[in-house]
Formats: sequence, structure tokens, C-alpha cells
Amino acid sequence: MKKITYYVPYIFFIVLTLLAFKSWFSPGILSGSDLNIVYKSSLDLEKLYPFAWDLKRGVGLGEIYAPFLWNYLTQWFPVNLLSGYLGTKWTIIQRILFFYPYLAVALVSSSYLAGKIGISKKYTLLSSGIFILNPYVLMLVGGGQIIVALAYAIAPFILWRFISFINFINEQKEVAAIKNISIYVSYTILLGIAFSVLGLMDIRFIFVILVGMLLYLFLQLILYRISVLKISSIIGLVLLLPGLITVLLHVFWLLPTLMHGENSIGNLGTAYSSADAVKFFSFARLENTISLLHPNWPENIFGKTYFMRAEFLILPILAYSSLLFIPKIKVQKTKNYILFFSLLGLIGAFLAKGANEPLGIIYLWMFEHVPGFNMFRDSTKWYTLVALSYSILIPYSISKIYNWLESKNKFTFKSKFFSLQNLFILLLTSYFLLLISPALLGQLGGTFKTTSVPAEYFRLEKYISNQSEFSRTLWIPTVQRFGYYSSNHPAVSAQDYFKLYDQKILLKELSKNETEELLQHASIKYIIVPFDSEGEIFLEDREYSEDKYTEFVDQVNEISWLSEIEGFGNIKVFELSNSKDHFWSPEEDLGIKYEYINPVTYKMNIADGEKGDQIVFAESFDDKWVASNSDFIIQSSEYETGLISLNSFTLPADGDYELEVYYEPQKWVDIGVVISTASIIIVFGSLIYLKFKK
Amino acid sequence: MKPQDIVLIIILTFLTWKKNPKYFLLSGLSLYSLAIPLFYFQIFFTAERLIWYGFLFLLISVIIFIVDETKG
Repeated sequence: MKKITYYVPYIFFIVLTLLAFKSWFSPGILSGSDLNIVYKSSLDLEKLYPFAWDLKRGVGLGEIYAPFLWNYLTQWFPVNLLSGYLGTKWTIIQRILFFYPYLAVALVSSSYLAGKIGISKKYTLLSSGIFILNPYVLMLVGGGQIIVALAYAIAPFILWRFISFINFINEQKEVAAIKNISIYVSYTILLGIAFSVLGLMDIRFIFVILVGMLLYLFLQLILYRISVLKISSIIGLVLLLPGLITVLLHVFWLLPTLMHGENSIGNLGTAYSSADAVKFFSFARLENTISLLHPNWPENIFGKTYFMRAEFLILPILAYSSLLFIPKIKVQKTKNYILFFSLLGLIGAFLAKGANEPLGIIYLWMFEHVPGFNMFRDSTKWYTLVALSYSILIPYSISKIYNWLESKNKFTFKSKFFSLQNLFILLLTSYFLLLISPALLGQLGGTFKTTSVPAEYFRLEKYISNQSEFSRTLWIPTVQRFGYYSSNHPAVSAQDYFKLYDQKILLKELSKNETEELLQHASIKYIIVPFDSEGEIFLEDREYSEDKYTEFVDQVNEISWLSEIEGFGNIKVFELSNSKDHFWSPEEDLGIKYEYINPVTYKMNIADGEKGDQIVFAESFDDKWVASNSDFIIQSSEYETGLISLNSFTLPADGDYELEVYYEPQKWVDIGVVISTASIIIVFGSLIYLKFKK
Repeated sequence: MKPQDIVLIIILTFLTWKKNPKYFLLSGLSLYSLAIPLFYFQIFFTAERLIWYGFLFLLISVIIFIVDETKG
């Protein structure tokens, strides 16, 4: 029977974890700046199937959704299923779908990698601790980026799958000598599945892990002096086949994105794709990244960075001290692992600082020239490599220093407990507790505190969701995190719609008479000034200002063409009369009746149509929208509004007839779904076959 | 170029001449240790320089370790 002291570290670790994540185990809603509340009425029940268009995106005026469908299986499918069909509450859904799996996967995955690398069992707890309790990931989950955090959580497992695959191939004398082909196929399939799962959570993490993989491959090729022929074969074996599996499983969104033929990130504008955007978002400096210190730690206020916290610099000192033991390591594999994780940590720290000095120009060059790198406008995703590295190196260094102290008899006290090595562990434990004290003392915000939704937000949700006709809400200056929206009532952020981020200038623009018509044409029926219950919209010196809110409401009240609807407490709701429907026409005599089928299909009946009549479809312009029947096909043309253009169809014939309005990239989604489903069946079928064959 | 840069470049030159990865490593770790009090007392310019050069020393150290391994 094991001594009670054996369990002390485990109990200590569990207590620490529960303390840091206590809000996740308490009742109440978890909400962060990137995690909005999902009302049951806002769910699209048809969204158990992926659609290429989303009415809620694109500033609330609709946008192609195909390039973002990769998170459909991990996010919207299970949320729709649990909430829409099973009636599960959001507070439960967010925990069982996202928060608890994150914690479980991150713990298992990080200790799995550490164990496989050769970190002794009692130190794998430390690996997990570094991986789940570092400032970077605490800020990530605190801000509500829980799907990104899930990708982060699974990263150690995937990295190990790759490392073991390379090791397996390396152990074969010749590539052709891989006799047991079934083992090779199993490795390939598992790696392909692992990549695919990672991509379903956050496609950027495939790139992050790929950097780690290529680095390991590169080191192996150098250290084992492998021939060019074997190099080519290995690259083919370890990257192309798993890559092919990944592409096949992801074809349901890759195919429509490629066939649409436009750069989805480029379409978002220079705010997302320019080098200036990268510079703006490069908040972390090298001293932050090398210390695994998130620049917004601990308040997590976007853009608010702090002076460097000197105490965090002990982390890289501990991590890279592992290199001191290199000459004494007898097992070549362990030596290679230490060198690999050291290099990984340095590369990760360099990339995570983005465009900041030194040599920030390298990141900017990569952003503009390396395919796929333009997804890393926010460079902090590269912190993952530093976290992976330190979760191995720090436990390794500590274990070696502990053993060294233990071996030096002259330093050792006679007492069993009061020894120098135990003092070292005690000091380190105190140090780690000091580093993460804001998390342990409940000083972190976001999802680390439960919150409740003010009653007026539920009243607003009920009021709007009960209206069956399509209409939009315009939130000024922007949508609050508890604000209601759905496909039938998308929410438009005024500051994004007008591209005006100064609240005074925005109000001035809104007060203009011509704005009334602009909003009517965009099917906006309600103008809403949110109740800033979380203190993140009406700010003065980064603090909530009641005066600013009151002044704002007073100025909106002065707009003559708006009339206030009472009954929503601190949320101020104004109605805009004569707002247009989803489909409307400048021609008054034209009769239009339409039926919403799904986000990409509408049935429309035209009455008294005349050739040349124009029908406006109040979704942001995309020429892939077509209106058709058995006699003709009309492609969407641009209806200029002065801001975001809408779709319009010009009737080619007189009379009464039916039209189907359809978003064409959907057919590529449909084909992709068939290919992806067939691939899943083949891939899992092959795995089962190979398992039974053994 | 500031005096800090000159001193650190001299150290870099000396270490490059020695080509010993352990020297680079110890220098890198020492620079980070030195940066701790400087950051604490908010002497940011020098502290930041120490971080940059420390990073370079650590990187060179790892590279030399790898090169040595290929020879071994």
C-alpha cells in the first residue's frame, strides 16, 4: 500500500486546479468578451446541417460562412443539438461541451506528452500545471476563447503522435523495409484524424503544430544524417498521407471556400489583413513571450499591457537550464528531445512577439508571403509552442536539480524532510503559487467569475424573438455580449456598420436624415442602446462611465425619426418606422411574397412583375446569389446603399411567377459533405479493420 | 549603438571565438538573471537589451549543441 505522502502532490494539484477554476464548478453563466450567451430562441434548428451563408455574420448583414464552417462540428452542431432539440440550459451546455472537456483534455494530453518524453511520473503533474495554469492560457479561457483553448489542449497529444511516427520510421533501416504496413497505415490514419480534429477546433493550430512537427523532422534529419532519398520518402510518408486524410475530412468547407474564389480574410478589409493590423495586434514583447507571460495578465483588458513582471523571468531560466545537463544525458533520444523542446520554445517566443523588435520585420514578411500565415494577425497563438516547450523543459530541469541536490550528501541534513532538495521544491512551489496568485485569489475576470444576465435582456429577447417577420436590430455603439440576435433578427453593430469607432462621430452620422432611409433599406427595425452591465462599452479611461451612457442615450432621444419603446429598463429600444422587409422592391406595384427555407434558400412569388423591375434582397452583396425558375436564371447584381451594398435581381419577364433564391456555393458544401462523410467511414473502417487484423 | 550593445557584442565575439555551447548557455541564463532586478527597478531599456542578447545566446547555444551532436 502506498504511503499517504505519495498522494499529497496529487491532492495539492487537484485543490489548486479547483481553486483556479472554481467558477466553472459553480452555478451561473460563464461569459467573456469572446463568449456570448446563446439564447435557445437564437438557434437555427436547421443548423444541424452546414450552410455556406450565415445571416448573422458580416456585421449582421450576412456573409459567406463556408470559410468558417470548420468549427461547425465542434461548436454549432452540438450546441444546436443539445439546446434546440434536448432543451439543455446554456449554463450546462457551455460546461459539458467546452469547459470541462478543455480541462480534462489539457490535463491528460499534457501529462501524456510529458510521460512519453520520459519525464518521471511525479513530475508530469508539474507539466500539466505549467500547461493549464500559465498566464497565456488563463487569459485565453478567461476571455472566452474556449474553442481555441480546446485546440491548445489537444496540441501535446498531436505533437506526440507525430514524434512517435517519426521515431517509428527512423527506427526502420530503409523506408522500403517498413514490413508491417498495417502499423504504418495505422500511424498515418491516426495522425490524419488528429490533424482533422485540431482543424475542427481552430484551423490555425494546424499551422502552429506543423511548425513543431517540421522542426522535429528537421532535427531528426540532421542528427541522423539521413539521405536525400529517405528525406523525401519520410516527408511523403509523414506529411502527405495524413495531410490527404485531413483535406478529405475537411473538404465540406474547403471545397466551397476554394470554389468561391475569394480571399475570405482579405474581404474583411485592411483591418484584418494588413501589416499595420499585425503591428497593432503585436502586444507581447520578447520579455513577455520568453517568460510565458501574457501581456494582458491579469486584467485581460484588450490592448492594456503592463510593465514586465520580473519574477516571470525565472521561468525561462529554469527551462533552458535543462541544456546544462545535455553533456551528461546518456540516452540519445532524451538528448534530442531536450534540444528539440529548447529550440521550439525559442522559436515560439520569437513568433509570439509578432512585429515587435528584435527583427519584427521577419514576422511581417512571413505574414505577407508565407501561405496561411495571414491567419496570424494576432501573434499570441504562438505562445502555444512556448507552453509546450516549458511543460517539458521546466519539469526536466527541476527533476535534475532535485536529483543533483539529493546526490550531494554534504548538503543534506540528517532529517528526512528538512533536506536541501525538499527546501528547493518548497521554494519552487511558493514561487509558482506567487506567479498564479491572481488566479487562485479569484482576481481574474471573464469566465473566472460567474455572471447573471440582467432581466431586461431576457425581456428584449422575448419581445424580438416573438416577431415572426424578418428584421434587424442596430446596436449603438455596438452589440453587448448579452444582446439577442438570430438568423431572423440579426444584430448589427453600428460602429462596424458605419466604420466609425468614435462614439461622438457615430452619433452625428446617425442623426443625419439620410441615415433613416439607409437603415430602412437594410431592414433595420430597432435601434438599441445597450445596458452596459459588464462595463465594456461606455468607457472613460478604460473604466465604465455612467455619465457617458446617459449622455449617449440623451443624444439618441433627440433623433426625430426614432420613437422609444418603453419597458426594457436600462436597455433603450427605439423603433424605426417603415423599415423594409428582407425582400423588397423600389417599384411600389410589384407584389413580393417569400418564404424562408434555410439560410441559403428562399421561395418567392412575384405578382404583377414587369420586365426590368428590381427586387432587393437585403443581405450583403455576393454575386453567387441567384434567383431562378425553370425559364430563367438571374444573377445578383450590386445594389449600392452608400455603405454595405445589397443584392438585387432584375426581373427578365412580365407576369406572375415563382422564383427560388439560392446561394450557389451551397452545392459545393453538399458535395463536400458527401466526400467528408464517405472519408470518415473509410478512415474509421480502416482503423477497425487494422485493429482486428492484428 | 548604446554602451550596453557594445559590451554585449564584445561578449558575443568572445563566446563565438570560444565556440563552447555551455558558455553561451551560461551567459544567456546570466543575462536573464541580470534582467530581473533591472525590470524590477523599471530600467527597461537595458533590461530589454539583456533579454534580446540572452535570447541570441540561448539560440546559438542550442545550435552549437545540435551541431556537436551531428559530429558525435
